[in-house]
Amino acid sequence: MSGASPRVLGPPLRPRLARLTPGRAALALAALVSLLLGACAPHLLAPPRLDGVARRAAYRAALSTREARGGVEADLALWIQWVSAGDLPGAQARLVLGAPDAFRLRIESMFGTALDVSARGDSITAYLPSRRLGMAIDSARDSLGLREVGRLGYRAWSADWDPPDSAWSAAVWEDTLLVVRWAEEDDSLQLAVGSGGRPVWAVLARDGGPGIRASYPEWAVWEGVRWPSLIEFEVASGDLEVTCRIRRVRFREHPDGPALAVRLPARAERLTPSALKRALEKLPRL
Amino acid sequence: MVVTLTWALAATLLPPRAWPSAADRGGDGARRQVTGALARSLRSSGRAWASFERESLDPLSGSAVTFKGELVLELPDRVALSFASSGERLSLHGDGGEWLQPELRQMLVLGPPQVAAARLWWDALTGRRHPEGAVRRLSSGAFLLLSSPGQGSADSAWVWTDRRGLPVRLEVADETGGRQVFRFRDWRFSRARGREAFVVHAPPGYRVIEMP
Repeated sequence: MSGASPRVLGPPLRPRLARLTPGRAALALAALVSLLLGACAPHLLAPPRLDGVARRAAYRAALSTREARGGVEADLALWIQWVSAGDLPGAQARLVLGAPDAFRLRIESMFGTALDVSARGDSITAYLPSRRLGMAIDSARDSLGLREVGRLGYRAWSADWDPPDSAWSAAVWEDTLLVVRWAEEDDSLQLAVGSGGRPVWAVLARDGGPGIRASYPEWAVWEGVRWPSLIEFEVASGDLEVTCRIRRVRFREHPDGPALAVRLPARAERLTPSALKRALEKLPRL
Repeated sequence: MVVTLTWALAATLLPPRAWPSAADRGGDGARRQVTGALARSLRSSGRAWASFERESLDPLSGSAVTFKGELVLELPDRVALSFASSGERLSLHGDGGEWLQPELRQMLVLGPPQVAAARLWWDALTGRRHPEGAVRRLSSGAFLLLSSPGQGSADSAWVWTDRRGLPVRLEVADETGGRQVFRFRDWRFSRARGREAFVVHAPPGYRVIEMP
């Protein structure tokens, strides 16, 4: 063995270290530490992807849990983007749901209530207290072209979409989502189920009318029940988008009638749907 | 019509002993009583503040919801309410004002229509303005203030005063079943700090929306 020094490829290390300024040295050290920590960190494992049958079973189990609660009372923050109403401020609201086909939404204002809306089955009532304007319609199907508006509201707020067995059998994979499509009378529906069996989005489209898309990007657990904590509604025409942040959920077995019903005061002026829509467009001025 | 309805509402809400005698109904004497002590103290000191609890009946749940806060008043036209739990602040000064809503991360810059409606009952308490000039003395220390239907939904309020004549309770009901009760305590008075102390500035990242 000779005493010759081993051959060094490239510039020797010590001179390179000597050229490092304190700032560069700190950066290099940080990079090295990050690399080592990264190498030592436990590797995150993605949850196992449920196959179609398992995902359907998980979805149905979670849906049954939500449905079993019957009634819901929730505090919301709402942000509405409505083309015809301009830049609307966010608002706080209260929501009551009564399974299977009733809801009430009360949007708060500086003076108490900005808008109070309730629906059950095919009827809908809305009241603007600050203007003393109201609307009460027994058949939203005839007046608004909205079939079972109460049921639609309940389903959308509680992600209560329940495809028939035949639709599950024909479900298809779209990327990581299991997409189910089915028809109900004049409506066509789509539901995307994500890993873990939770609904990611649902679309309801109606002949001659714009589709409505409900997305459920975030969920939280209240009283042991997983429930959407962020819901985004979008009308396919692009005119209206509503983002709802659910701040608190309480479950009630049977919400009573007054909690779910808006009563128009005797002296409220009763409007047609189109007149109420014009009044709502002026809501930010209230 | 409004007065009739409001009295009908009062009949359902107030205990019988609170009903006015014929001599009590009217005008300037009652007005002086309901606002006199607070207005005098404000004029002599410049600034009044009090702690309050706001209780509202939630018609959706049927239960009462209570928030604690602080009220600050300065003559001639400044009102500020702040709520400790939510950080919400409502400030009114002149024809303008701000409503800071941390839960929504937004601040509404109020215009004259919103300010006029929001300050109705506070102005009545400080003697600056009475809605429709209508004040009714219901009993010793209990008063009914009336307004016409305006931008706000409430058209009547009840005020109770303590032995010094300072407001201890303000109750506002609307026809949708909503009901707000403010209970005041610890009235304190000090020098006025001026309009700037009432202007609310939005924290960074907040959406600021000017109301028309």
